Amino acid sequence: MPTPPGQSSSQPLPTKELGYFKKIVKSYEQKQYKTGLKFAKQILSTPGFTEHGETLAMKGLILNCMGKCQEAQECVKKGLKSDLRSYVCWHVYGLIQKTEKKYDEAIKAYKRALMIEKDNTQILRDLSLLQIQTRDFDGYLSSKYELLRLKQNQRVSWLGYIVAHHLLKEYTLALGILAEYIKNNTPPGYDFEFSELILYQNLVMREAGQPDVALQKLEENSTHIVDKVAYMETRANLLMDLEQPKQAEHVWRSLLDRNPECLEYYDMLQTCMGIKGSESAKAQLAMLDALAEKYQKAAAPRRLALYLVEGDELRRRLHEWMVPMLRKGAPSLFASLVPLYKYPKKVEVIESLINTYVNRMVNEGYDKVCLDDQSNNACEPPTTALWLYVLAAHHYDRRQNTTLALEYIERAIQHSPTVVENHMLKARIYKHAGDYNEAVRWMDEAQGLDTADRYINGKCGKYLLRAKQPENANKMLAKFTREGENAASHLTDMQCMWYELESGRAFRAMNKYGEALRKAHHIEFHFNTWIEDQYDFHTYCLRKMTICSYIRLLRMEDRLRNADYYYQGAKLAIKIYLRMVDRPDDMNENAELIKDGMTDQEIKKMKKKLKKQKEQQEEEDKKKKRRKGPQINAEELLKTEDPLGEAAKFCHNIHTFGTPKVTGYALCAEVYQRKGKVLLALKCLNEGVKKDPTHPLLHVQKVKFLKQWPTFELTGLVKDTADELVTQVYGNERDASALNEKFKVDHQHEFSHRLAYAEAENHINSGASLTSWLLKSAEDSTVNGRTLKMMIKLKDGIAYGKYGKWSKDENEKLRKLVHGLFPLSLDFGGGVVHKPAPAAEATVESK
Amino acid sequence: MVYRLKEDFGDGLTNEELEIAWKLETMLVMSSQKKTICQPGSIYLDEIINTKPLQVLESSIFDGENNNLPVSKNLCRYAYYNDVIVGFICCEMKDIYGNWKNLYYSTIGVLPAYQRLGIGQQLLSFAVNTARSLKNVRELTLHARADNKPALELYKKNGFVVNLLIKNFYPRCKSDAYYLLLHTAN
Repeated sequence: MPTPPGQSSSQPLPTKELGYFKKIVKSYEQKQYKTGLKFAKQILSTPGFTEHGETLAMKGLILNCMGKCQEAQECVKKGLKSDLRSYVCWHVYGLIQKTEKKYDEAIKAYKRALMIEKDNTQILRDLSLLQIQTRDFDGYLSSKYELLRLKQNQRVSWLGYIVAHHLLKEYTLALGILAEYIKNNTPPGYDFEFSELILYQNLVMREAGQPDVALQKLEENSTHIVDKVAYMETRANLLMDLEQPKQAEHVWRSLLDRNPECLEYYDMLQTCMGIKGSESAKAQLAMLDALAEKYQKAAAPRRLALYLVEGDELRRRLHEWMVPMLRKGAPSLFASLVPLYKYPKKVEVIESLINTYVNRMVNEGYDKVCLDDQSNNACEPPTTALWLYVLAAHHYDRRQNTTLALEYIERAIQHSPTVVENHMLKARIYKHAGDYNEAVRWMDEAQGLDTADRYINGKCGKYLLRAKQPENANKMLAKFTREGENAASHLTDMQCMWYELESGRAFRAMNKYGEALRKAHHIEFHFNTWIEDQYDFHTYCLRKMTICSYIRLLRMEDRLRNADYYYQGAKLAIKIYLRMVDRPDDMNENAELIKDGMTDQEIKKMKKKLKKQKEQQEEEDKKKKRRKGPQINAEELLKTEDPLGEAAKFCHNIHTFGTPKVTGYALCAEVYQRKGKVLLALKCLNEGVKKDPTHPLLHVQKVKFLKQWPTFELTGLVKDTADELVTQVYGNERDASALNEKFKVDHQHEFSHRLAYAEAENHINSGASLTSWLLKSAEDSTVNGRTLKMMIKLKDGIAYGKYGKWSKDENEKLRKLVHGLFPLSLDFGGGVVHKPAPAAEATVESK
Repeated sequence: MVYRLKEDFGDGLTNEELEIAWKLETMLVMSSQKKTICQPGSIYLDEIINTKPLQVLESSIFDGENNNLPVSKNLCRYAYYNDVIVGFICCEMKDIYGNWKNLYYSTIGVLPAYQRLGIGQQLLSFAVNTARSLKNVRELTLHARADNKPALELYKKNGFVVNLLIKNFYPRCKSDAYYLLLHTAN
């Protein structure tokens, strides 16, 4: 017989007070917190019960729900102190620790409570939730076992017990209990939850490596499964596992009947037919053509076929693909062509086709031409010309021909000046050419044409951030965020990560490293939130029987930080932390304002002004103070004592989840090497080499590490492991200079590799003058990849000191040189020059 | 028609002007060649909420002109072709006498690339239907450039009659205008 709360051995309450206590519990359950506190006061003011432990615990619990966390903590602790033998006090203490996210503490407290009150199901449930949240599968199993023992008639008890076995990979036990449960609980008719259970059983069987049994059970229960697509997909996969490709092919084909746009089905079909891989392109094409014939309206087989052909055949198919989309105005037309841009020959075909269309438009008149070559009197709808010009602009933008891209987008705008996409594309062309201000101008124009569209609003905000105008960006984005609230904080509450990444980068570009770091930490904060969010699903999914999805959720959460946004945010943070070490003076954002030749008085005056500005800012911030969301202070972040340690925290999350990015490993290797963590650095280098052995950024880290390698003093097992890893990464090469020289020769035609060589060389030999070699590289037309992006990297790298000392003249030489290549780039003194009114688009209209 | 003009404004018109008016009256409505369009687009009208596209259309169609037209939710429309805004119509209410009003439609425009697709007709029909649906509106009126033949054809086809010729109504392009009228009261 369980002890009811309020009756613990050390402080039993008399009848009257016990009545009050029951009312507290009831008020708590009904969320009538104020009433609950009133009753608690009644008990606590009774002589002899001023320190009544369980009442204090309940009071603390209620206070916690009312958001008074500090007070709640104290109350609960006081309660626990005065009644250490009460399970209620321990349980509440655990609950409070849980809300503070001290999971280990909470688990300990729950266990203490259970020692006193062995069979309390509520505590067992709370404990099991924390155990699954912290992935303590053994503990989870034992809690679930106790729960099942106590509540054998509850479905959730059975399911929890089964899932626990499954997660521990004890498949035989899991399957045995599942089979028993299914046998006793088969419903007579339609039942969605039973259908989910059957699919879950199937999942466990497949993971247990029993595809034959799985298939047999699937067929037996096929009438019970209401998710037909899941049934068919599972069946097809099982047939493939059992090496019955003919039957599997049949299932994939019937799935295509349901949805001919699903790319995965085409892929699987190829596998079943044994025609995967580039050597069977012909057979793949035949398959796709047959399916295209069968599904007249399907885009997927037609689009996939484009990627398999070349030359005249490509031209013919592109013609058939593009003309209907141009007429329809399908925005995805260019996106569907993007995979072809990897192959210069295919790009030529696209370009020649576009030019043919444009010429016919011009020669025959856009209102008379028919791109179909049909002899009847039909002609193109006027929108064809519009979308053709847009396509041409996209094409030339992709080919980095800014002049032609602008010319075509101008034609499109003249044809249809109200189309939002026209102005967006124009902005995009300017962005790619490096004139962010002009890009903002046109994106703003586009935004004005459709103020009710959040997508274009977001784009405009993003472009403003690229142009280093975070305040204007916030004003723009505020049009769609909650009224009366700062746009930035609302977007943070909404976990809008593109915004945080872009504004973080904008602040970095403006030398406001504290603010930039803050944004990166916001991203980290969101990922933590998502990990915590799964807590609610542990009970919900078992109750709702959506166990397959639940298992997927658990596995997804385990690898959550593998997401690209996390990587980008972490990269931003790590680079700033490294900068703190390398260039501590950069962290003072006002350093730039103090110029040479200013008198002391002037400096004093300016400092005073800055201080005043800051105080004003702080006052405003105070006014805007909010309760929710991450409270991260930019200045505090900059004051960290251990920037490398902070960086390493981010690194840990990048490499342990096996990021697909080679640059991620390079970055981690750099941090670990600086921290003297030899094995971790080597492990990252090794993973990086596996991904892309010749990646320039990885090469820089390889050289840096190898140079430092002889200075590490290692012994024992660490030394043996390190030696082995070094051989894996470097082969027999142990000389940093030689490694670098070989790299230079092997990749002399790549600009990014040349930059890597120079950075590494400067690291080995800081006296080396590579300035003229780099300048020549930037000029040399036989060197590939001299993009604007790389030029900006070079410029930033010079400022950082990565490429040795550059004189003012040399910097100016580089500026002129790059300006010649990219005349619109603001970074190199270019860009559109606006004559004072009327607003004339000088560069555009001159054509 | 001529007689009515003479009755109403008899002394104000020269013979030459009447001649023109008469020509307009008797002008045969040319059956405009409708194009066959492969994959024809959808045309629909919608309210004007954001006025920015209107400004863009105006300055594009009327060569930089911008009149800051009064926009009223019920009396103005954008025309969409394949979801692209390509034209507009703006009307306003004018008092005549007593309770009677006329619906004056001040501007209609379709981008050059999208003309001769029946969009103008749809916009005009909107004005006619609006005028007919409003109780105290007796007529729909407008000014049209005297040298804009296709436009005059369109109005003729829709039952408008010439009420007046006004010399040099559009000083910018040195053009005369007809004041046209359609009775809409039942």
